[in-house]
Amino acid sequence: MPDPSTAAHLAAAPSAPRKTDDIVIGIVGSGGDGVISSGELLVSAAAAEGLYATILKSFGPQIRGGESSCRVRISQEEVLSYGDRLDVLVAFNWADFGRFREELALAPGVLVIYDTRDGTPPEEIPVDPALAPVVLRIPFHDLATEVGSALSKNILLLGVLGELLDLPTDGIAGAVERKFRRKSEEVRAANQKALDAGRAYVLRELTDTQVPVAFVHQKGEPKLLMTGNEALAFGALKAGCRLYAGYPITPSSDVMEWLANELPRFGGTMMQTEDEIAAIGMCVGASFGGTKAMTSTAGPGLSLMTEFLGLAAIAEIPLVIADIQRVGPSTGIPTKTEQCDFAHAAHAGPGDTPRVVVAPYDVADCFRMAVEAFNIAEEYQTPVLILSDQYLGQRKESVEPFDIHRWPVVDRVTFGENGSEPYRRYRLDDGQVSPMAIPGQAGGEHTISGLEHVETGDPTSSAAVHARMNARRHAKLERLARERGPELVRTFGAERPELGIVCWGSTSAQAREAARRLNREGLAVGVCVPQLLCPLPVAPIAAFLDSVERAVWVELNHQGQFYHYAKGRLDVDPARSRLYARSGGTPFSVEEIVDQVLALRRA
Amino acid sequence: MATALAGVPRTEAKLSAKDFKTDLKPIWCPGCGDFGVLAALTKALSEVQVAPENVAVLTGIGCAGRLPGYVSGYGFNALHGRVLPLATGLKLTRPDLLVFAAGGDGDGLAIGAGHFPHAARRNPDITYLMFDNQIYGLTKGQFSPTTPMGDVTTTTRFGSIEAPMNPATLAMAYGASFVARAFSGNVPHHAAMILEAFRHPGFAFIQSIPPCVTFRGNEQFKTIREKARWLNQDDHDHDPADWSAAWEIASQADVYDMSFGVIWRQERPTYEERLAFLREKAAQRGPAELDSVLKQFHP
Repeated sequence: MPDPSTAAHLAAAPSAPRKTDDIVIGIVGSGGDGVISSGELLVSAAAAEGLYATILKSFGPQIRGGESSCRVRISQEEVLSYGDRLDVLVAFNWADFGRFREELALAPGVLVIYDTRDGTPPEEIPVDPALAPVVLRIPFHDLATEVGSALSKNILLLGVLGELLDLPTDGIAGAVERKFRRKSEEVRAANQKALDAGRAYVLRELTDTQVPVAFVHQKGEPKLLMTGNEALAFGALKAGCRLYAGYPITPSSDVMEWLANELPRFGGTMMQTEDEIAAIGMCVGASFGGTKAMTSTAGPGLSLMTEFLGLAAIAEIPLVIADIQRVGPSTGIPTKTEQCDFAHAAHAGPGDTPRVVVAPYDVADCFRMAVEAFNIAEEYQTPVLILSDQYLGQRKESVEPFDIHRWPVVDRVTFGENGSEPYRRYRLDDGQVSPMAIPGQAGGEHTISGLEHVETGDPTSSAAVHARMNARRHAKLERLARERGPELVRTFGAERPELGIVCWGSTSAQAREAARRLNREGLAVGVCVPQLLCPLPVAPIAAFLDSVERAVWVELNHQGQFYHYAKGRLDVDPARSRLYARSGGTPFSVEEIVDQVLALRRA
Repeated sequence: MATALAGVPRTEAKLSAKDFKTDLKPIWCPGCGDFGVLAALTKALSEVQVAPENVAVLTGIGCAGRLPGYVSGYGFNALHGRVLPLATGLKLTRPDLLVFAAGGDGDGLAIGAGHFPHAARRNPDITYLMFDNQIYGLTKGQFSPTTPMGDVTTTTRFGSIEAPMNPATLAMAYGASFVARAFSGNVPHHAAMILEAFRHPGFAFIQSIPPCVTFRGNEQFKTIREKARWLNQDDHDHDPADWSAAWEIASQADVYDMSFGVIWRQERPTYEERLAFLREKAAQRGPAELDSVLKQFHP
């Protein structure tokens, strides 16, 4: 029996561990504790083992340095959300836990592990006793120091978790080996020692300890692992993007950093510009020259891009702008998620600025939507905004291996030859989109501008021409909604739903899981997720609404921005719908959405 | 060593200034100094042996902004102050084009001032011509960042109390590798300056003085012409590689006491050359194949 004062303390042990194939582990520590690294290694191990996994990282307000936490969910079944409550909490110290408490809800019977070095007695830890936590104290710091370096305590932790919870220990060892394969022999040996020490500790000291939870799984084909921002950047590369220009801003900078590595060998260019205005300006310049271009930013940067958005719209320049939303207004909370830029994305720009807005609903969809955004931009000669967010962009997730060649890539229609007719950039007689003459093409020379223009592109101040050109630009969007709308509204959950959830973007993850949970409990719930937000595909959303008795609209912003936008375009019966919109900072929990759906029944 | 207009196809065809003029009638006021810049530009274009389809003329907003419509080739009259990002984005992705960017003093030194230093230090192979008439003409006579102190304008009825900026010294300080000054009242000389700029590998800046007859009066043309000094003519020798001498000439701020010509010239690698070098390095990461990129996502 281990000495409870130094090694382990057992509060309340169930007779046998609960077997689960779906586990949520939270790890909290200070900068240098290697918390994030531990979490990533767990996810990597799981993906290699063919399991589904996701990691949600969280940092203090300072973006760089300071306390950090991560939550890892590993499951045999497709992981849709980060998991509401922790089955296991690891705290290197309790002071740091205090800062993340709001984000880290604990499950009843949670296994709590903390470093002996934090002197807090088990009965004084900040965990609600009503949850009946099982508490273990493990001398991570001392054990790691013993085998070499206190810095390896995060690796030692993985040895402990693997053994204690029946996580795939070989998978963990493999993940550690892969991560450090370019490091010195010495470092790799030290890591192996730390892993072994963690496992040995469990086998030596905790054999009699009953943990409340044990993981069971079956090995499968390895999954891919990527973040939403990486998937989005990769999708852009696949779509043929060859110029990216951007200005660093959290949480979008990873898109730029990834493309800075990958674009040059494809003959592309990544420009880190002096500001967001220059970033979108370079994209417009490149696209005018026939090169597919993209910028990405967050809310504050999108504000600066607004004038160019208007120019791209009137000049009909294909362009992709990704907005990885964060809490606003203004600087807001740069490291936290919120779906708060919909109204901005949908309405930004002077005059009747046409634009397209799409929203990916999960990590893999970030790839697909990036390809789609470029395809739409090229085909309809219009700026396209992609609304992602911090939660979707920065979480690393297992993704089913996919064929990157599956999605076709669309290129703009370019001018061939005119015969004797002078080139007309904006024809009123050819169904809204005219072939684009690209600089270098003889016979296609023309001048475009931000001025209202006649067919050739020459400026005009005729009100009649302005009305026709406005109509022409907006007719493109109507056609887009008509032709592509049905396939860009996805539905999930029950085949014949009684109750519905309408949501967009990252919130779809928790909504889908809520529906999955309720469906298993016998309640037929469906989820409607438009990927195309502007122009609104009215018909398929209306069809969904008609198919359910009641629906709740869920989005992570204070005003219910998308709901009110949609309500202006759709017949939304107030007696049969509810809006659940709340400020961001933390993503929705599944429970929260389940409650909202259940409330529909009571309504 | 860097080559100017590397990658831009040259034509053997005999071209004249007329080949670069469109049928569109300029909306500028009669007697406007901008006509001289337009004449100089079309003359320079006809001499550099680049066909119109390979020429892109980009501008901001202002009287100068209308320039693309009057020049054959591809044109883009874009946003106020944003011509340099546009031109850089175009040139880096289309090195086969001759890219000519232009805008007024307000465009480049007020609203767009943030882009000028960055375009200069990056050194893409483009020409940037600033129509410096020391006034906002299109919005009808407000003072600009280069308006001399004390000048009365529609927004400085009691005389401007702001110190003016100097485009030429700023360009040098920002790291422009070519700085010249031209006067629209001397079209042959002005055309020669534009041609020099085309032939310079890298970011070439021209401070052009096109008098605004509407808000500055008819006298300016005459007085500048009388007082102008022409570098490397009339015994006025100047070595554009001499920083101190160049700085002294660039520092002249009074249009009635100015030297015109190539002020500063420095040969250094263009952005495109550095980019080619970077791409070679990046190629060591692996082939330009999507499947090879996908590998990094395997756990």
